[in-house]
Amino acid sequence: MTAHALAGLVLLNVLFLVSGAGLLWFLRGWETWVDLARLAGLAYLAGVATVGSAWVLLLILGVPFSLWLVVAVPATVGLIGLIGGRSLGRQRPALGSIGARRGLVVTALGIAAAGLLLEGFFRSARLSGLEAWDAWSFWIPKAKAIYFFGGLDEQFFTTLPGSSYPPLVPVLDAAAFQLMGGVDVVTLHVQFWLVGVGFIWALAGLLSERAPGWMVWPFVLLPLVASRIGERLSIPEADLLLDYFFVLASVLVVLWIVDGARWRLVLATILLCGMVLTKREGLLLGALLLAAALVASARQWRTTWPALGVSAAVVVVVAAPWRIWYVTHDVAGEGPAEGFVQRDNLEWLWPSVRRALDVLWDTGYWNLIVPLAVGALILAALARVAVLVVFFGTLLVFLTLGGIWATWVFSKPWITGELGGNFIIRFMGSVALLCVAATPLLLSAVWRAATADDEREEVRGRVALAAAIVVVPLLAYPLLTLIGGLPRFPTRGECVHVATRDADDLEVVYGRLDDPVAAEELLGKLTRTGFVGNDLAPDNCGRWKVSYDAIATLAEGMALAEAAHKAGFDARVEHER
Amino acid sequence: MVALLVAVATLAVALSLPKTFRDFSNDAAQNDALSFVDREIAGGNEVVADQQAVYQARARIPEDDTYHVAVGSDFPGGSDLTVPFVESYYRYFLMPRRPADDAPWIICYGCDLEQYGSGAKVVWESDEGITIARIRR
Repeated sequence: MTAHALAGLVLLNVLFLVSGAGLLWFLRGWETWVDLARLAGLAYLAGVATVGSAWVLLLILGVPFSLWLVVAVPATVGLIGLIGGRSLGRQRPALGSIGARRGLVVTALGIAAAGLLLEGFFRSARLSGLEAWDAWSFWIPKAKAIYFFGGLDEQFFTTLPGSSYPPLVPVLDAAAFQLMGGVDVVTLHVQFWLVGVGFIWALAGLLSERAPGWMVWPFVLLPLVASRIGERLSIPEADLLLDYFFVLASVLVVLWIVDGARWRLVLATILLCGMVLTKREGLLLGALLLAAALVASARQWRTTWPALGVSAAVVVVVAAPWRIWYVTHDVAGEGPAEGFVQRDNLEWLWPSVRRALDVLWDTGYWNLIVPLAVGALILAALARVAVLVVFFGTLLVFLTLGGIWATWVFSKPWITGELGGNFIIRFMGSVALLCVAATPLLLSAVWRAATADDEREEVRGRVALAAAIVVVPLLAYPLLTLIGGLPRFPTRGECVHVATRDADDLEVVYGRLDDPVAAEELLGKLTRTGFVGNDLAPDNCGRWKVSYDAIATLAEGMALAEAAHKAGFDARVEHER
Repeated sequence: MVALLVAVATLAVALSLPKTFRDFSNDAAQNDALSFVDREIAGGNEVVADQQAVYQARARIPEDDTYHVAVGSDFPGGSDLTVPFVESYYRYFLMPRRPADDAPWIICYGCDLEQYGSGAKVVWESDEGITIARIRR
């Protein structure tokens, strides 16, 4: 809740960005700074996945988790990227140009709208208490265990709920605690908000390679206004981070199948590694993604399948240590307790199908994301946009089947649509976000096939207009908010309201103490000295207040405080509110 | 058809924007209005029955000591969530203090303190029937 904590988070996320940017420079180079700006979100999330995975593997090896490690790992990743890039002869990026195309204004409108929504989410995230059940039940306790004990503390990591869940998110939280200077679970919401910003940026940047702005931005904005995604953007749980990695990896894989650019598959592999260390569903999602890639690239199987095999092997190698750790620590596995195929429960299969499809089509959760994606898929199939249709169609079918299977063996279909009891709602979030990414790619392919759209026509004055469209609202919104007052950074001191005028809620406060025993001692000492009639009560900031409230006027209170000062006590007249 | 789908998506966003802005403005205002204690306990407010109990426990139990949360199944206070989940909440809130069955500190929600023998000294108790005791062995 402090400016220091926010500054610590900024530093952590700059480290993620720098490490990811270095990595991408090594993998693909940066032709221009504009190119870097477009893919900065992707670089940032690549940094999160790479650095987070490295931290997890080091923790499993027993390396103590310290501030030094938090800084050294991203710095090393960034440095390796830079050295690797130099050794490959990568050039410094040129300035580049954003051009002055007709689509620029639409892009500016999209950025402005997304920016305004994200600014609004920031406002609500910054002072959020830790309400999410799973967050206080096990995600944050695991993070605290890493922070306080410097590693995968056996007691907590084997007894907390979700013990077999991989620890990437707790490690990211613990890193944030290190740089925030303490366990600040309120400000931690901003970390998850930043990851959400990174995802929106990454998605828009990737899609804009293939689709014009007017096709990209409505679909990039849709998840922000979909209740199950937008409202959960800043919750310190692992679901959305897993979905972000999955969706970006999917887009990278399908674009790799289309254009053969190898850096995309390498980056997708890094994100897949992040997935399998984020949640157990990451294994299922990763396997389904690679299976869909095998199907979609079957025509070029001689070149694509071996590459996908190498990618899968790397992911398995990265996933294995955590699984070995929990098996050797007697933690129950990630699979269903009653087996992967439950022949005794076949009567639950059809209700599971119904449940999965109901959730997938629920516009209350996902707005119109899924129906629009299905429409785009049908259009693209009619236009014979082969690879994209096969990849996204296969993956969506696989994911739906995966969700049905998971409901059948994990959640049981009679459990209602309540989030806590049913795995399927969380799982279908990945399907919905995949639809967000798939729709503009499918539609743009159809559009290109049907028209000779030329957006390259330069229009004078567009850059200035676009800049104004982005900058004005993004500055105006926070400025208008600030008219209501500067941002608050609540501390325990917010319960202190020093009195400067007469009022009917005056009291003389002798102290606010963190320790109730010390507060009792102060009360006793006051009484023995002759200051009688005092109260000892908790204030609203988690401290114990010793006070005297039978005060009629400010002058009377000041006189009592003065007498207390002479007797060697601290005392101040305050409002009791 | 492509343009139609994009138009529908644009319309869906445009129609949802006012509610989304309203929702997060309300959330921001509600979060801002929370007291320090309500914000710090947050998800535990429905669980712990008495905010003072968690603060008392945190203040009295040293960070390197252990504690045990004992919950009587018929504890009358709190909500439906208290009996099944209060132990989990203390585990989150009191870290780095560790839970242990043989801990010297007992946080008792309607439990039978007599089972800990005459060495159990009550250091704090609330009107809600929550007690913090120190066991001298």
